This record gives sequence, structure tokens and C-alpha cells, in this order.
Amino acid sequence: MTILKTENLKAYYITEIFGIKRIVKAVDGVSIDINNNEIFGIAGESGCGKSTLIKTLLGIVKPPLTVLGGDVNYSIDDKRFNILSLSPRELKNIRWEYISYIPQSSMSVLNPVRRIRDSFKSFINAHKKIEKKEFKNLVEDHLNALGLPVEVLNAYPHQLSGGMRQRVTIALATILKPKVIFADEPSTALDVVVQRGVIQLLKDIQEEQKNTIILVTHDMAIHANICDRIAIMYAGKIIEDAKTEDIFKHPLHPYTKYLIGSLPKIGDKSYKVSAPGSPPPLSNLPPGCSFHPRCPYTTERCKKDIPSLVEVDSSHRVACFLVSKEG
Amino acid sequence: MLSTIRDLLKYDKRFTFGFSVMSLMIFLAILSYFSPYDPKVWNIVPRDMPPSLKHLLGTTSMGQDVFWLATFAIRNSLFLSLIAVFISRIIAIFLGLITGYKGGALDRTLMTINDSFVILPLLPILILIASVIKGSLNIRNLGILLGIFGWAWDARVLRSQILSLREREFTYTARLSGMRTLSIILKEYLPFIMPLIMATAMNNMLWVIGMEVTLAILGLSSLEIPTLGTMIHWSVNSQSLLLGIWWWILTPVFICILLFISLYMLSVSISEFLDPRTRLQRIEVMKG
Amino acid sequence: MEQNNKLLEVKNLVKIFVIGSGFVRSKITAVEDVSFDLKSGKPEIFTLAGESGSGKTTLARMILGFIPPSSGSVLYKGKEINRLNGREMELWFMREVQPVFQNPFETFNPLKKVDSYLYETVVNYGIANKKNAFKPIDEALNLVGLSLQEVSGRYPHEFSGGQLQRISIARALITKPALLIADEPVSMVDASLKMSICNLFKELKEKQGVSIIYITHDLATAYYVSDRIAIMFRGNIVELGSVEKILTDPKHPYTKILRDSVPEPDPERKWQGRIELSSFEEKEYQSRGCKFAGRCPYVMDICKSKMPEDILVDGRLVKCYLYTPNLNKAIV
Repeated sequence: MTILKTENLKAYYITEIFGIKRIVKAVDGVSIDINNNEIFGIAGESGCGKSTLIKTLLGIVKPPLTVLGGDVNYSIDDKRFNILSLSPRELKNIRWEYISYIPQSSMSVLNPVRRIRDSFKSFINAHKKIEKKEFKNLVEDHLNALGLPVEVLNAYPHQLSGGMRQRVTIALATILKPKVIFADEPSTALDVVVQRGVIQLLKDIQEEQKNTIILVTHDMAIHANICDRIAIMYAGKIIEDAKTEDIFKHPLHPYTKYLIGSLPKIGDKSYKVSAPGSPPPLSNLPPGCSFHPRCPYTTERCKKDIPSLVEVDSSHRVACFLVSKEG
Repeated sequence: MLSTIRDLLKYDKRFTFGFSVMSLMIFLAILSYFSPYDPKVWNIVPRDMPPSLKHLLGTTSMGQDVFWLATFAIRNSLFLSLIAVFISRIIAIFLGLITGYKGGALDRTLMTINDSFVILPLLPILILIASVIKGSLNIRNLGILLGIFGWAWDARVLRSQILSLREREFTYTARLSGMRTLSIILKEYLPFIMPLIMATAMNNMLWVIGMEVTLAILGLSSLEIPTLGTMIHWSVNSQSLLLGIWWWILTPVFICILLFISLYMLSVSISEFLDPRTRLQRIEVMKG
Repeated sequence: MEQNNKLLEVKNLVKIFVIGSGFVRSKITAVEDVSFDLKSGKPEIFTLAGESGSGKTTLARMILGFIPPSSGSVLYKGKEINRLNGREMELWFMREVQPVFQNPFETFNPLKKVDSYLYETVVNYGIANKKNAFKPIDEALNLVGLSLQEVSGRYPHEFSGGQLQRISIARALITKPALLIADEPVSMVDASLKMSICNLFKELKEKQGVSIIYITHDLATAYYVSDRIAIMFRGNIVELGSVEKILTDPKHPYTKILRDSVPEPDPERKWQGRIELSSFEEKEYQSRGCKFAGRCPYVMDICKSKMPEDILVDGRLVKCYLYTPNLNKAIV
């Protein structure tokens, strides 16, 4: 059952400095379909536009970011809405209860001069009025369910380790049991062992609450470990999306093939090749397919036309003329 | 350089304003060399005449043409600030850079001396000094005096900027490329501290002009030299407002205000232009 | 002068940081009793692996001479680096040992053209004068797959992270160093370009004879690139040996947890089991015994009171009482 759907979403940054106009095509025709009760991964490197995509999906669109086309349609429980058309008040009501967001840095969410307990209080009170006793039960039960010690409530953020802070942030984001959780590089700044704990926590939450987690990260190994489906983003567009196994075992787009082929593995000393060249700047995309300057299979058509995302196998879509045999 | 000025003129209204006003001031200052009247002589023209075609801004109670007096005033005030700012910049930059980069005992000693200057109550001290050497406080001496006192705060500001630059990774890269301290400061840091130097220089100029006006109004500088301050002094002393000779006092006051605003505008727009962050954006945009 | 066939010798290196001043002070032992060597004549890639707080960056800075050790010594080609006299010796050392930093965007001054550092290096180390600098710079850039033509006159933001990192490596190679110290060189480089830098390191070792100390928390690239590895935990090296052995068959309990927590880019090989995380880590720095005792599933009493010695197990050194010979205990 679809919980979030966009079709040909376009969001550009348009700036003008000293008379020169500059357009950064961060989200350039993105169509995705996310279901209930799944972990959906969005993978892409730096500069591919995924952070802007998240902002747009969350409805945080402020100048110089402008949405040029497409809706972001949510279908949560019995509510149906296009987040881009909501008023600030309506947005506020939606946040944390229906849709929540885990940022990369826990310190963007936790107030450094207040105890954790107070952060929880202000979050909850912004949405529901509850009694002190009910608050205590709600928060403590939630922390217990997540395996976090209740003592953290009394602590200040700086007294906790980075990993613990991030887990507290996840607890904050999920306390009102939202249906859709966006996690933007939640474990990138963390150590390997702590990262495992944090990602494990996300998986536990999804299993228990049966909601949807949209995980954005450039780390393919994380995607392999918890995502059900993955979308690969390149130069502002989704170029492939499929079930996790298919992305790793049968990548179809040349870029995805390079990406999967270049991942180092312990125990494997075979030679790994990177894609030649580097990703194009979003302010100056090449004509036609954005990957064509680096692609070993480029044809004349690739230089002129932009391939669209076409289904080539069950729930496996690719944006590539060679694979989709489009037109 | 010229293209930068042209760009700034086109796109930053503040710069346009500041630049035009300053150009006007400089023009007037140069004009003073062609003045038909000697500013030090009194009673060469009829007194207390309102503005007319012959005397564009009227005349004073002491028989001087206000317009030509003003051109001298502007010239002297500008010279004064140039001397003072030059001296104080050299001291501030030297101190700020050395202490910021070297650190250690040198830094601590120099900063202690610096801080003693920071806490000096400048106005009373200047009043004291000025009242003692009143007679010989001509433009050059006043400039030197103000220059010697105007660097302390700015040295600290520069020092803290250098301190933060020193910790950035490209400092290591520069050292590893074999560059020596002076080289690093001049080639690596200068582009970053230029906006700061320009902004503090403009502020310093404002301070100097203001200080001169203060001292002159109190009667402590060499009063026969026409400066903005002495003009105000004489006009106040001669009860010009009371007597309705408004052109005499308003001219220097209005010029002061214009100067202050234009210097401020210039300082703000130039430092924004030179600011590394906006500079990067511009380079990016220019190169497409 | 003693006959020495060691390129680098790190002996009992210790670094203690004192935080605060006056009455409120605390000591952090960032690096404790670390020793290892690199042999000359046989270039290798040696990894210092560890999480944040393991002391690996502090150790690298001591080897580069950026900070002085609290005790212990670093010898490069037999010379004690903290007792080098004069600018000439300083330059000699800087020429021989060059670093590569983590953040390619910070490595260069954003307001200066990138090639300025290349020219400075050539001129300041006396390799050539400005007029003849083209050749050595172009050669160094060719080694990393670039050319002076591509790089000339451009600013850092005009390049991608991967390209900048390569230029940074090229700059380090101009003086033809024998040892590169690379601190997290690929962590800020995109996934699709990471491997080209790793391949570059391997090529530099094999074709140019450069030894590299590779510092990272990413065990997968460490496995791909290096020959030997040292696992660091809170300032100590807890396991040291061949990367093949240590990462495919870890012996120290910390190495095991570390290895198991590395996510595999393979949906059929997900994490098995669960791990528990500690919430308050400061205590681990101050303990007198093995610093891992608080989290170790095999902890014994002696672990908490006395730091274990290095024990040779299966071709590698392990700092753990579990491997004491004649210990009657089933080892997992």
C-alpha cells in the first residue's frame, strides 16, 4: 500500500548574484513510490541532490529552493494530502505525529542547555497535552522498549556519548509513533560499533511499529543490511530502483554496476574499479543522460535524450536506453 | 581592479553611494588648491552673508567664504585621517599578525602591552596631551598622535582572525610545501584578512575625524587651521545658530554626516565583497 | 651511527593531554606505550585502525613531528625526529615523510589556485626553480592520473573531492618521499571514487616504492589496501599483524566486535546477533587495567587491574590475557 508518491518532482535552487542567474537542478524529475511497512533506502553520493529531495519530501521548501513541478502525495491512515500545499500550521500538526525526521547530527535536535527530559517534554507538549504521570510512563516505556537506560533523561546532551545522543534523538523522533520516519545519514558520523547499534535500533523500531523508514545514506553496506528496497540517485534523478537483492545481485544501470562493483569487502582482495571521471555539478548538467560522459556504453541517443524511469522487471525500474529499450 | 569597481558600482547601491560621495569629497579637497581666498586670513569678504551666487555657501562672522573654507576643511580632515590611519594600521597589522602566528611568550608580552592601550580612556588622555601641546598640534602632529593611540583594539581583532586561520588545514599544507612564516602570512592569510583590514581602516578613519571634531570643539587643537572640527568650533563660539547664520554651522556638520555615512557604506560593501564566502560564490558563478 | 635497516621505528610512544588548568585538571592518555616498525627496502602499506578516541590521529601527528611525545621516541632512518637540528635537517625530514589529510577541501586555501602549492613545494625544496617547475609537477600529477594542464589556474571548488585528494597526494609526492602518512584519506571521498584512490596507493607502493601508513576506521578499505594492520583501542595497540589474518580471523575480543560490526555490502550477509552499547565512555580512559575490560565478554579479574602484555599468537601480537600460554581456558 503506497504511503508516499511523487511524480516527476522538480525542485531547483535559483539564485542571482551580481546579475548572474544560477540554477542548481537538485531534484530533476524524481518519481518514487514508497509503501507502508517497509524500509526504503535512497542511495547516492555527495552532490546528487538527496538532501534536497528529503527537504522537499518533508515540505521544507524555502527560497532559494523552488518547486517547479510535481506533488508530494502522502496517504497515511485515512489522511491524504500533498505536503507542498499545506499551511505552516497544518505542517506543524503533521510533524512528529505522522512524519518525523532524524537528522545527521543529534545536536540539531537536542538543546545543549537543557536536560534530555526537557527536550522530550517540549516535543510532546507541542502536539499533545499530557499529564505529568502519563508523560513519565510514555517516555520511560518508550526508552525501555528501545533498550535505552532511563537515566539518560536526567543527563545533559554533552554528558552522553555521540552514539547515545543519536539513539536518544531517534527515541525523540519516534515517541509519538509516526508512520513515516526520514533518517538522513543517521550513522555517518559515528564509529563502526556504535553505527551498528544505531542501525539495529532503527530496524527494531520498524519491526515493532510496522511503519515506514526512509533511509538516506551514501553507504551501500548499510542499505544492504536493513533496506527492503533501494533507489539510486544520480545528478538529481532516480536512475534505478528495485528490491535490495536485485540492486546488489542484478544491477542494471551502468552507474549502479560501477557502484556495486567498487564496494570493498573483507576477505576479497580482487581488483576494484571506480567509475571514471566524477559526477557532474548540478548547476551545469550535461545534455541528455547525465551519466553519459562517464558511461562505457554511450550511444548518440544518450547524448540528446533523457531516459525515463521504466519498469523492466517486477518492481525493478531503470532509467537507461540500453536497458529499457525505450521508444 | 577597474572591473571590480565597475561591478560594485553596478550592483551594490551602498558602494555607489559611498563611492560618489567620497569622490565628491576628494574633488572638493583638490579644489581647495585653487581657492581664491587664504583660509587663515580673516575679513577678506563681507561678513555674515547668506548663500548667494558670489559666495555659494555664504560667509562667516569672521569674514571668510564658507564654501572655500569647507574645501580646506575637507582636505585637512582627509589628510589627517590618512596619516593617522596609516600609522595605526601599520602598528595594528604588525602586532596582530606576529602575535597571532607566533603565539607563546612573545604573544603574551605583546598582548599585555596591547591590552594596556585598549583600556586607556582615550578622550581624557588626548584632551590632556592636546591641552599641553596645543600650539603645535597641526595636522601632521595630530595625525601622528591619533595614529599612536588608535591601533590597540584592531590589533586584537586581527590577531584572533590569524589564530583561527593558523588552525586550518591549509596552513599545514603551506608549511609542508616548505613555506616560511612570512610567506604564509602574506600569501595565504592576506586574502582572508583584507576585508577585516579594510573595515577596521574605515572605522578608524571615522574615529579619527570624530576625534578631531571633538578636540576642536573643545578648543584643544590648532584653531587657525581650517578643519571640519575648527569650523564647528568657531561657528559655535560665535553663536552662529543664535544669530541665524545657519550656513556656517550646518556646512561642516552636514559634511561630517555625509562623510561618516559614505565611509560606512564603503566599508560595509567592500568588506562584503572581499569576504571569502561571497567571493567564492562569485568565482563559481563567473566560471559557470 | 648504528646500522639500521628500519625505515621507521616507533618505540614506547606515550602522549598524555592535560585538560584544564589550575585546580581543575584531568589527564587523558591519548597514546599509551605504542611500538611498531616499518622496514626499509620492502615498501608496505601499514594500517592504523581504530574508532574515534583510539589515538590514531595523535599517533600520526607524533610520527610527523607535529606534536612532541610525552615519552618514547620516533626514529626515522635511524634519526630521532624530535632532536633534528636546524632547518636543513627539518627540510630533509619533511621531504622524506609527507602527509595526506582527510578533508581535501580544507587541505587547500579556497581563495588560492591549487597549483600554487605545487609550485611552492618544488621551489622551496630546491627541486627546480620556478621556470623549470613544470616538469616535476607534471610528473607528480601524472602519477595520480592527472596533468598540469588540467589543474593549472583553477581553484579548489572547481574540482571534486576525489580529484582534490589526488592533487593533494601529488603535492606530497613531488619531493619523492619514502613514507606517506595518510589520515583517513578516503573517508570524505565519494564511494564511486574511493577505490581509485585506494588503487593509487597500491600502485605507489608497488611501482614507486613508497611506504604508506594508512589511518582509518573503515576496515573494508583497510583490508583492500594494506599488508599489515594495527588495531587501536583507547590509546593502545591491541592487535598487530598481517591484515589477512587479523580481519578474517580476529583474536582480540575488541577486534572481533569491530570486525563483526562492519556492515557487509551484501544483503545475504547481514549482521548476525545483537550488540550492546555502553552509554558513558569516559570511564574507559581512566582504568588501570585493560581498557576494554568494561565491555569484554571474556573479562577476568586480572584484566581490570593490570594491562596485559603483547602475546604472539598465530603470527600476530595480541594484547589480551586470553592468550597467555598455559592458560586452561577454552578460547572461542
